[in-house]
Amino acid sequence: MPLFGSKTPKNPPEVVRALKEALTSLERSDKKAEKAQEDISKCLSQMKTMLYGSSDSDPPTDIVVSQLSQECYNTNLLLLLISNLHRIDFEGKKDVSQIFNNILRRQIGIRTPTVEYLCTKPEILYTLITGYEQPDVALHCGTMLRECARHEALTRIVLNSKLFYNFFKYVEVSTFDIASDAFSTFKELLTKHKGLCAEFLENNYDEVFGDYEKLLNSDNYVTRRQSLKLLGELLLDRHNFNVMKRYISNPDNLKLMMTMLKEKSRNIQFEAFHVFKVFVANPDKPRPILEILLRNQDKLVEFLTRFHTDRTEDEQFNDEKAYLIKQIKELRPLPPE
Amino acid sequence: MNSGPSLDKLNLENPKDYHIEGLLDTIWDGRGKVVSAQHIPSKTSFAIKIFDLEKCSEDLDLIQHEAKTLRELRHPNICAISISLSFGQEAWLLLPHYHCSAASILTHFPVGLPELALALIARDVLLGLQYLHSRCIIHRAVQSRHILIADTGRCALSGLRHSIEHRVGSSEGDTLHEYPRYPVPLLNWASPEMLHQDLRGYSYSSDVYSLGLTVCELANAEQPYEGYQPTLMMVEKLKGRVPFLVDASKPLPDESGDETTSGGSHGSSGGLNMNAGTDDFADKRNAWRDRIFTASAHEFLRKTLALEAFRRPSVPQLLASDAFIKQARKAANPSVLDYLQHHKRLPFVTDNPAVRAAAAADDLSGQFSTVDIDDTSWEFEAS
Repeated sequence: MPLFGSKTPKNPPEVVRALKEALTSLERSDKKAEKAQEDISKCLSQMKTMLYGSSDSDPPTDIVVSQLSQECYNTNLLLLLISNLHRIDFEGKKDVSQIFNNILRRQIGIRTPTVEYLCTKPEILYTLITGYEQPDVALHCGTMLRECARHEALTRIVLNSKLFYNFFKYVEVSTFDIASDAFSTFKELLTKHKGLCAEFLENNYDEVFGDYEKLLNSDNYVTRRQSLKLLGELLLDRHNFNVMKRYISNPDNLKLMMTMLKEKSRNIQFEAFHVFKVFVANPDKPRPILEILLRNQDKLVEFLTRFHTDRTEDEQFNDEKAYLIKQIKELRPLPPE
Repeated sequence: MNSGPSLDKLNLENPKDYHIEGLLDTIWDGRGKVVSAQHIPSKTSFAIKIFDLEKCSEDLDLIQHEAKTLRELRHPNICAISISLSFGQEAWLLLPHYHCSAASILTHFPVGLPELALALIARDVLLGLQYLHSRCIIHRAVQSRHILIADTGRCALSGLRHSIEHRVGSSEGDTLHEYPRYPVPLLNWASPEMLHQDLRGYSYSSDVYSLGLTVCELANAEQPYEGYQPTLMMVEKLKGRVPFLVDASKPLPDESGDETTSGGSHGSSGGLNMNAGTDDFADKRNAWRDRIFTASAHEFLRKTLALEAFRRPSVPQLLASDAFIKQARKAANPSVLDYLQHHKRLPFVTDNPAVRAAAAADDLSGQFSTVDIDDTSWEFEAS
């Protein structure tokens, strides 16, 4: 027993209860708000110590961690924390995301209890997504969402939600760091769980690629460049074979890539090349695609011969370019329909 | 300085609201520049770090890392951003205005800074590091170029692009092995364990070592291991041969002496000084012989430059009980700029409207290299 009772760290149920009370009072923004803020900081750092340990205390024990997690589930604390995140002070916000991520990583054998819990509370995920609309919590919500995206079950909930399409808006905002963060979450959601992602893209092809085209045509340079790069990665991933086949059968997509090959930005040209090559390398080109390539046969050969000739170091690129030139040269006129 | 909560309420998001006044510096091999600018609606002045993303083909993620890291930090001794913006093919990072960098001060102190100035700067850097370490961030690039000094004299760390988050599970004692992507300008200040790349890895104490070398750099006005080949520099460090504060108690041996036999006799930079033998260097040697650093200053270097990482004091320990750092707390005037100006009539007050107006007249659309940047003394980044 410690000698001085006042310094004794409270047990998990007490910390959670105190935190809930303080959050409620903060939410009402009554006179006690300042005191509430203070209490929140205290509770959050206590929770962090319970989860991470601290330099002058023992490492966290399984019992305390499991008690704390259980309290969080039972009291709905996580949702309360996240929906009030914008009200919590600067350092407190970071504490919340660290606590959330730690609890989420918790494993018992092969079970991940927090994932199971979140599956029953999808509104937590939805609140995290819409967090991107508030600049002061966007990055914290992003950190938590990416931790969620590591779990297939949670990614499935996000992808199947209408809110997923908000990302097409979030990745385009003019605030560089927030747009960048939203894009990395977006990418994580679309690439992490290959089977799930392929299934999602196939089932929602029109909706996703309809919106995706807007990203490729965005006024925002960073959005355009990153979305083009991701498109190349998605199409070249063999899990997405059906999606790729569908994408490269559409002559509008080819036209867009050929336009982007001639963009002013060299980086965009280069990324466009990596999508364009898929159209040309397709052994089974549909007639409309062949027609476009044939119509531009000579121009394409000349263009590609002069395309990024200074990339002498990049062997793969040069091989691919040579291959494309050969393929295009060898195209034979189509018999009349 | 224009940091503070009041900025939160301004709408800073429209790049068209800014009037670019003049070029302060070019950074990162021309991939970016720092300009001074005014946010017209609020009449607030900023320094804007502008990256040309077209020139960063492979490094977009690094700039995103910097912008995101800086957004999540708020501390008086860290040079954080107010906001970051996309504007055409540029990324803008809005920073508060600083007076100069610690490295640029050395142009006015060719022999090195006096001890109290070193202590004041080191204390502020330690406060910044303490905050970073508490947020699980290792800076990895502590050197005088990355220490910015505000008009108030407060020093803040920049160069967070090189930083790394240290979050390997929850267990302590884990170390990192990852190298910074552009290590060359950082190598001379890097800790031996970071250079060594063995199984033990490196951790927070790596920053303490770099701070030791930075203090030495500022004291002797020489980069650590200046003129060394990187491999030789690394060998010297791994043998524990480190630079020291050159003064009357630890003078350099005569030029005729055998300067290359041991690290201890290498002198200030720990290095084969390129200027050795010139008149300037002779003057410098004489000035070094005439000065004296306290025992606690020498002790500070001995502790922070310990070869084994675990022998170095931690940042909180240094702040709490190091005698050299304590001088800063007792200083009558805590502003390093005031102190230095008092110490030696300094001509380096550049932050006046005339200079700004002159800078504004420069045509920024031209080549950066042709713009005269002598008036300002910015060094945000290792080049």
